[in-house]
Amino acid sequence: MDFFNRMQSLDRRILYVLVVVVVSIPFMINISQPIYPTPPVERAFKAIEEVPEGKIVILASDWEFGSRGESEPQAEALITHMFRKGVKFAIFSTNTPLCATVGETVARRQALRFHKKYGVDWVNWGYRPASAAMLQGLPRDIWKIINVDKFGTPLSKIPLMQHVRNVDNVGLIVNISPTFSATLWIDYVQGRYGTPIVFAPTAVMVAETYPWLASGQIRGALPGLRGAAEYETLLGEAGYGRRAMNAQSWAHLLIIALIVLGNISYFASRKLKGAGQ
Amino acid sequence: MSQYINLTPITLAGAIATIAIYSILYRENKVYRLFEHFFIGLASGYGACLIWTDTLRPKWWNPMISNGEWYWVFAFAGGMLYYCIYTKKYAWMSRLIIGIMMGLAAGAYFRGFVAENWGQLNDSFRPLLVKGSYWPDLNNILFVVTLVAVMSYFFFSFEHKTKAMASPAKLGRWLLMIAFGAMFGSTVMARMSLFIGRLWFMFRDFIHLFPAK
Repeated sequence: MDFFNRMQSLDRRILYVLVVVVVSIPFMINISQPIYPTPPVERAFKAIEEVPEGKIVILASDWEFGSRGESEPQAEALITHMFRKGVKFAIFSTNTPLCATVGETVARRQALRFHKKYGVDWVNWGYRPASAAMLQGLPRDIWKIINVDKFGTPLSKIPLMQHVRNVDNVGLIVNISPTFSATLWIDYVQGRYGTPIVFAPTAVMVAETYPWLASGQIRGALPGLRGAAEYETLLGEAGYGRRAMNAQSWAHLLIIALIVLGNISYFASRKLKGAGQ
Repeated sequence: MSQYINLTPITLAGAIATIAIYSILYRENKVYRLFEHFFIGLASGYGACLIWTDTLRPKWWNPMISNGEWYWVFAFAGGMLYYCIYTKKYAWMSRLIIGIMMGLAAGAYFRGFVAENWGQLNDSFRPLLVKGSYWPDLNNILFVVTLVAVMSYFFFSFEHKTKAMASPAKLGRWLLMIAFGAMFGSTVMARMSLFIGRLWFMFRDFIHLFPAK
């Protein structure tokens, strides 16, 4: 009985140390676990593969460093795919000014790797406020709403933007976000003009994403870090997502074990207490 | 020493800040409070600077001053009306701008409402039999039962006295709890992912404990 009582009143700092140890082990010993892509990720992959020739992707990068652990591997995997396939894209943020900068750091890193040029293969539109009002005008006239890129260069001087004037020249919208900002794109772009959307939420928003996936309003999704790991599997890359997913799996096993132990301790101590009385 | 620990200022600062913030897990302490204030101050200051450099200057100041678009001064006047809320005498002026912005937002929301919910409404009408056969489609049956049960839980027009109302409502409550449990599990997963990101920084970028690949 003493054991079960002690289990229920275990100092939480011991649990924190356990989590650190369990999560660190897969980083030290590279234990490779199989990761099987799920249908939402496969559909996201297919959506980028099927972007029509001559059209661009709007990479709505609405994440900051607060969700870097999940959003950065998602951005890395998606940008790698677009560069590899030769799909041109425009980074854009409706959340905060920092989001466009953060998305750009990932793009620059991959651009070096794939020898892609800014202004020709990709561009950064920067941040625009008042998303609801702005997104109503954007599909009709991108040049008027965006006007200049993040660095102040007029769109008329950017080679990539010469043939991109409105939503007809956009083949896909990819939204990476820790909030459900995909509804803005659904409300004012996908719902009206039919432009497909791929959504890469953090794991917190995953449960809310599935109704939109089921209805087809979102074409595909990368759910959290797991989605990034699955996408890397489809790309044939062994990136941070797959490595971190090993650690994540071990952490989940630990949490499940602790929940089971906690419940056994609770019911056992109640039973013993009742028997004692 | 530098082959084992990255002593570049930015990485060192990041590592110290990470350890300081996580020190709250041991117990409440002044170091955590100090770095918490550093973080809030840095984020606010950087955010304010970015708002000027990335939004106000290119989209408002430069067009107004350099491109002859003088009418942008009205945006400034409208924005300043918000601050009238701090004075008792002129607080009524802030209600003008708040009313305008709320009206704009409501109008925009109405426009998006159909686009957002029409797809969901359409998708809720699902066939209960597999297409081309008489076999039940279990996925769709589960979906429809869940939808009706959860909606009946939120039906407050009359009391759930009869069994016909009370039973689906009770089932709806259980299904809601299962859904919230799944959401909570996802939240735990998200927090763990962010923590793993921090550990990766500490054990790879700061202390070179393991290789990148």
